[in-house]
Amino acid sequence: MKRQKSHSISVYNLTPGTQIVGYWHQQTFTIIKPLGVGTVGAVYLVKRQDQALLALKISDNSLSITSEINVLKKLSKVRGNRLGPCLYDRDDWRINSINCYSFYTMSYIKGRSFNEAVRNASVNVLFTLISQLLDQVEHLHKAGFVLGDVKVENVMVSDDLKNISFVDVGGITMMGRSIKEYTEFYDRGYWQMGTRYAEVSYDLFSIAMLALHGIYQKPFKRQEKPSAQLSKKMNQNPALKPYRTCMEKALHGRYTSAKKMKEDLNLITAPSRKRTRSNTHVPSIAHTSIGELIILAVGSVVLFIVATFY
Amino acid sequence: MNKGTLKQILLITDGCSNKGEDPSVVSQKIHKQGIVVNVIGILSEGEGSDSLLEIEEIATSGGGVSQLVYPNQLLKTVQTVTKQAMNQTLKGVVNQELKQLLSKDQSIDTLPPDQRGEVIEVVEELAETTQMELIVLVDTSLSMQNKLETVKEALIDLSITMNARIGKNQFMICAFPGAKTVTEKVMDWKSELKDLHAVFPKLTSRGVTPTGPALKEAFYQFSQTDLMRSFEGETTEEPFDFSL
Ligand SMILES: Nc1ncnc2c1ncn2[C@@H]1O[C@H](COP(=O)(O)OP(=O)(O)O)[C@@H](O)[C@H]1O
Ligand SMILES: [Mg+2]
Repeated sequence: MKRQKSHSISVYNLTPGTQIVGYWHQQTFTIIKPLGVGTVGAVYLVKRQDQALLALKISDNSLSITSEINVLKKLSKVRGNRLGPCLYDRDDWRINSINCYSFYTMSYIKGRSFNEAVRNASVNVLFTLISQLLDQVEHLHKAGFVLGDVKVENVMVSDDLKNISFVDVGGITMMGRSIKEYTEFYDRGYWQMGTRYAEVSYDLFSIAMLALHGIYQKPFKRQEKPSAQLSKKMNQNPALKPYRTCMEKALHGRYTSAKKMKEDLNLITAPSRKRTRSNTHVPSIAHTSIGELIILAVGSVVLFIVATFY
Repeated sequence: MNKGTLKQILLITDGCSNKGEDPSVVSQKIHKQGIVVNVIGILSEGEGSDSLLEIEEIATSGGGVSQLVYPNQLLKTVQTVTKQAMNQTLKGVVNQELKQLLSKDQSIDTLPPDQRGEVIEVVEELAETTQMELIVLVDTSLSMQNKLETVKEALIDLSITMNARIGKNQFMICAFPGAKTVTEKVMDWKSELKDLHAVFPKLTSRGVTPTGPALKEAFYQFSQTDLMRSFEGETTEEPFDFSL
């Protein structure tokens, strides 16, 4: 909304070498490269004057930045929390008397977005990552928060596919409140399958949708009967078969904890040493079925046409 | 701080006003009474975003938020605009209090980061707990025909967002132009927006879009429901006067 207004300088396309100086603490941060742009702000890899490499998030929406800083501060007090980056600096960049942008720095997380990371991975690897995410989310839930805005852009995976991290704290909401930020595809309200209350089952629904997104590699639009549509999606891909029960349970809010869902997943992804070894032919996501891809392609064309003539 | 009810009008339209008072002038008067006016302009395919300049003007003078969207973005936009305007209003109210507490030229944005964080927490707490009265004012002129189904979906979605809050909500839907009157109340105050199938039965022919008069009538719907007082800081002493 605000982004469309023309500023003399845009914090969304700062070039390498640009120096950001904090007004309150006088630290200098030199931009090395952009890491990504989201709905709230832009994130850059920066070098602080003491040579530390950090990720810096800046936006023209100071309310959102401040709110995210508050969340990061609270998370830092949660014991055993491994979810998300750590907060380092918080400051304002006052370019002149009119243009002032709030920013904060956090630990730089190396890796790729969830979608890219799992593109050529097996379904098994995908769910092993999901299980790891659930483990972290369990800690968060115990501390009284939900993730909220789960989506492929906000979940990063290390290049060796061993570690998964959550980067965007903008959606993290205190339990019992209304979800602060969400993205339609992952939101059970959009799918007419529940409320936007911050509770355990809200996250588990979006994590199941994250898995579906990783498998189909792109989101799909809601149709006439959303719940049935999702069930169909689950049946379309044969590689998903072992996970169907678990996924359905998550989508219908029948898990009471992330831990329970994780345990169910672990039974499938790593049932026993013997079975894993004999399981040499793990179907890869990218090679699931060409027919499926065609259906998807045709489907989106139809949707596009419908949308155009709406 | 006086815990009141937030009052908003959300205008959804796809064209410019061409009858009656200037909607921006009306909107400014409404805002002076502590009610915020938000505007969503629905674009047709191929229509540029400069075609509905009036929309930003109405929202700005109404202390609210405006957005131009294509029908397929309406779902997310209706709730974003509503929440953003809520935060903006509450931030304004808190700012007002701060000025009294600290000094005239202090504001949330000039506070040091740590203190600002505490203040923002208060704003968020308020956004979660205040009561809300929202009148949705929908343009139902003929050009809106294909868009009303999407509008309904977006309103149902808005209710899901708003009702996940701790604070209570009241919604009303008005359509304009009405068959005989300027606006027509199509749904009286309710705590939820659902079962909207029969809400917009009649479409009126293209030609007149009396946005200004419609806003004025929507405003009077609030006055009739003297449920709660508006925020203290928002109201002015001068009596409400629509005479131009
Ligand atoms: N700590 C980080 N380390 C590395 N990359 C990051 C980090 N934080 C964010 N990013 C990248 O920047 C993008 C946008 O950041 P995000 O916090 O999600 O912004 P928004 O709140 O606007 O969605 C992310 O999708 C991710 O690719
Ligand atoms: Mg993001």
